[in-house]
Amino acid sequence: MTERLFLSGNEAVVYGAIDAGCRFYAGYPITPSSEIMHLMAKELPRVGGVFIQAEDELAAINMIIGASWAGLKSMTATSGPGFSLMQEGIGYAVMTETPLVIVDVMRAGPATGQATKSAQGDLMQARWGRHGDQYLVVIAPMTPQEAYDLVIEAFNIAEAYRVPVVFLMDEFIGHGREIVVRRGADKLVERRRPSDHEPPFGSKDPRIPPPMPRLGEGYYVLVTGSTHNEWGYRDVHGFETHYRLVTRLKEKIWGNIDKIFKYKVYGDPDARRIIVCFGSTCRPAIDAAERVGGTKVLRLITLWPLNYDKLAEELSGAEKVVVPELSLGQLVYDVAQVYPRNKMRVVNKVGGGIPIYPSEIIKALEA
Amino acid sequence: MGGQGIVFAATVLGETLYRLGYYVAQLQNYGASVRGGAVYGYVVFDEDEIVNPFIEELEVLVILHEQGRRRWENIVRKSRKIIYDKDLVKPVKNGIAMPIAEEADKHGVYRALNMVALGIASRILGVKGIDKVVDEVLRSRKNYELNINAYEIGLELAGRARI
Repeated sequence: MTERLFLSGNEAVVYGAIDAGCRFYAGYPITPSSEIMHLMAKELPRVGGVFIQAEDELAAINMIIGASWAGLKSMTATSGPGFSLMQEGIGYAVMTETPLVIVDVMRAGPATGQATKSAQGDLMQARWGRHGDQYLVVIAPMTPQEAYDLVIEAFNIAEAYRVPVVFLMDEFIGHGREIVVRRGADKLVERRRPSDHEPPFGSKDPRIPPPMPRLGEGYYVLVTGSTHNEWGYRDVHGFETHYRLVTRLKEKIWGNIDKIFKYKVYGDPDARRIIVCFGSTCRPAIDAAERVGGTKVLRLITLWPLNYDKLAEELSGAEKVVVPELSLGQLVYDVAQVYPRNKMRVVNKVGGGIPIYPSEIIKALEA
Repeated sequence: MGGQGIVFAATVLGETLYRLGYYVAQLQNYGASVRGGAVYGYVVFDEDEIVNPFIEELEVLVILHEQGRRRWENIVRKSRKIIYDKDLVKPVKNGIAMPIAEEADKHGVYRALNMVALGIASRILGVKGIDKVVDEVLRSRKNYELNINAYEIGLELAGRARI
């Protein structure tokens, strides 16, 4: 089943999710993500799925957590203000190891900011928006086609590692229409179910995610956001239980970084002038590199966990590094960890729905 | 560029060029307000895959509202063929003034000014088979009669002006 369609990124992400096996969606509309919800409402019932318009984002995130424990691959979509409201629930999902996909179609913030204008200012929030020691996965597509392809990947990662995955889009990708080939999923990952006497919240090797029971099938399980042992029993006093739990939750993601972390190189792979970018901003970056030559584009697909060793390796020997962002600068802090600030050039632009143009990146490359 | 159904016009053009077999990227910049002219929509198309849809220089630009022209002066300045409404937009350097709104009003299709603009752009683009596919696309949407009439007025206007 391969279909060639003309879709917005928001529409593409819906078909990707459905092809990944998503069968539950709860959400609350917000520009520029609402089309995801509209299309989900139409398409999910056709494949036997369930769609719910929640009363707000808090309800939405908690509904998809419940649906996930009931055995369905679940998703919600929102934008900055709604994403802020969902943080508590996302933290709970990390602690309870609940597979979810949360789509954040970024707009200019903070607060209500500019609802219809694209931005990339939620990067740090996607990684660090919750309190406590919590680790999840953040993936960023750069085209509507990738909104389709990579959301399938996002579901696979969520299922494989029992973790919420933030799918970080922006208004340009969400509302921009392009050709999208609906090619179906190459592979689908399904969460592992526990056999008898297998604990649902622990494993000897922290890199191996524990199996997840499906509520309603007779497996007695306690699901709590409080510190718990491998059987789910609360322990809100002891050091051991807490330390073991949070280090395992971290190691479950960072210990698998070689499998999770993905990036792609465009332009001249040996060039010593390098652009580091993510999301829609990579497109003018690739264009700029092609126009001037002698430039490599290092495009991060996985934004969290971020493999700093790989980043350092790719940037070693670089004479100049340019970091374009539709924000006042967030990715720049990652680059600064492995590359001297004085040789770095930034291109920051946000608000008004104005993209970064290749000419601006070229100017920074040649400055 | 304007605020009279510009995003819809861009959607129709994008869908049309997609059906004609091109690689297409259709983008827009719009606001949260229901009224106002600070909206633009554009389409990039090519026989090859589109690397970057974020461009400053448009081959063809039709301006229907002064607000848009003012806000996006950089795009207006860098665009090549500029058509603007002679009554709704202040004179644009190197642009061609046309009685777009006047003609639309005369033919009772003022509500579909966006389609008149689309007709003008289509005529200038001169892509083979474009009119037939625009017709097909419009048939699948609401207000077909009104839209197609307005589109044809646009074609005629551009034809008369010999651009």
